[in-house]
Amino acid sequence: MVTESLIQIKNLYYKYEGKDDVSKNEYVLNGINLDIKKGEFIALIGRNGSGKSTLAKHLNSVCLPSKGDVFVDGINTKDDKFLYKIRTKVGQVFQNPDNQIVASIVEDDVAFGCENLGIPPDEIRFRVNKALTAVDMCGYEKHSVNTLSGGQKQRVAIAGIIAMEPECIILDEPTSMLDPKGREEVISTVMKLNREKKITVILITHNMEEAVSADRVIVMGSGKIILDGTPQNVFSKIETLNEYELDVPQASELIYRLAQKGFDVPECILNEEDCVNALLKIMQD
Amino acid sequence: MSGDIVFGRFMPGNSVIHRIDPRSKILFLTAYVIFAFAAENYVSMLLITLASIFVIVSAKIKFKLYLESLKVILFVVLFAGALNIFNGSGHILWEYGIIKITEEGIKNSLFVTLRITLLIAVSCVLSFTTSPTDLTDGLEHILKPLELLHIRVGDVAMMMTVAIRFIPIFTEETNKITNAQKARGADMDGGNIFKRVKAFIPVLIPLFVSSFRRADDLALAMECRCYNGGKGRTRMKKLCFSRVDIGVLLFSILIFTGIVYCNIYF
Repeated sequence: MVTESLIQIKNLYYKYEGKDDVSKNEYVLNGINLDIKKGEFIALIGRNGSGKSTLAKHLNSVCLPSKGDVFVDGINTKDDKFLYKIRTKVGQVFQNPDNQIVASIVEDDVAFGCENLGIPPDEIRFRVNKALTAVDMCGYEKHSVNTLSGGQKQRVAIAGIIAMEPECIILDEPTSMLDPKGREEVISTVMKLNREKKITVILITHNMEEAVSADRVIVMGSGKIILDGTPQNVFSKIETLNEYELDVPQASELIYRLAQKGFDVPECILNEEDCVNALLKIMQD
Repeated sequence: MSGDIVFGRFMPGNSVIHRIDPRSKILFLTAYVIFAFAAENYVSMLLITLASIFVIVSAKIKFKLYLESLKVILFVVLFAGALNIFNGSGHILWEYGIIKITEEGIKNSLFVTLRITLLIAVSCVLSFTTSPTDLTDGLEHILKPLELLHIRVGDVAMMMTVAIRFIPIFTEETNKITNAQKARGADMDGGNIFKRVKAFIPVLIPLFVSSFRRADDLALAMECRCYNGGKGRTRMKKLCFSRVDIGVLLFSILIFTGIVYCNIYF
């Protein structure tokens, strides 16, 4: 595991400027300190309005801190000169696949980011093919985007980011508008990119099953980081999660309740298979 | 669904027409409009019809798609044709008050109908065989001289790209909103034209709001992908003229001389 740090957030505060008086003095982000290492797969969870997306926007200079600093690979995001360098390093995929695809043809859209960076045509062609292979969309180069399924569109959007060869991809609820099949396609693509290309992934999600597959889970609430640790670690703190109105994977919750009733079960369980095994063990005892 | 609109859809393929540089295609279409209106007698009209058929056949696109595209504007074609029957002088075939049908009128009507039909068919060839990106790239190159007038041609081309991209999305969204309003009891189909226009307002407003939201999202996504207004932008596909384009030029000259000749000598 590489331990070099990629993104450092130091004492970050942020409030939206020029909004109505009610929200004017409220910080959306309230003193965030975070260190993201290269190659990590992070799931960022929290309920609506907890500041997840705002935090994500700070990582590629879309928002700039009101107080505090964000460093991407040692560069301060406030530094205007490196704006495009930062955005090349940290790519972002959004929730609605339709609203982030610019061109009507798959390969043209994937090329869009590279074209903006002024990369020579042959190199773009090479990168586009590589990116489409990486998201398993080879053979769709000339297809019209409108004929694709939601999962395919989202993978094209990911390819568009990959082609810019970023070190980190932020995915802001990429699966919330997709059907289960599309969801599966997108998540397995993201996991593959993380494993094979060592791209740092920050996955913002409401789906706890997705969060469980991450290396590290960060829970946010009212602009603060509440929990930060491995999935086992975070999902064993069921009381804290419930306090912030967050779901817990069903398996974890069941085992937790059994433990409260005095059954002899492992401390934290994340997937159904382990849960079944634990239940079998109880019944055999 | 987005699959419903045929007009303006790109059909990937490998025909000669597909391989022509988009700039040549756009310029040819412009010239073709002039040719179609320059043809003034039966022989030159026959010539331009044959030329169009040649273009359509070489594009190797299913004939059914042209018919579907024509169907959309059938009314306009017929209306223009019908109107022209009454326009013309010469030998009167039928008369009622000030309305009279002449031989020339029938000829005019026939020509107008044929011209519009051919123009639509050939425009379809352009849109069917050219990817939207090539089309906007081609236009960008052709309009490049306008930059001398401080018009930002790159921005215009980007707007066109986005517009083409979002046409099917908004079509789909219009259908969705219409259905949603119907489900709430809105009467969309009944009444006279004014009532129908009025009934469309509850569809238009949500569509408008949603288009702004989409624009906002898209702008953010484009910014995240380092779009900075086209400065220093390169292209994956370089446009270049090839031998096929010389063919297009020769073909255009051939039609032009043919029409001029026919107009004079027949």
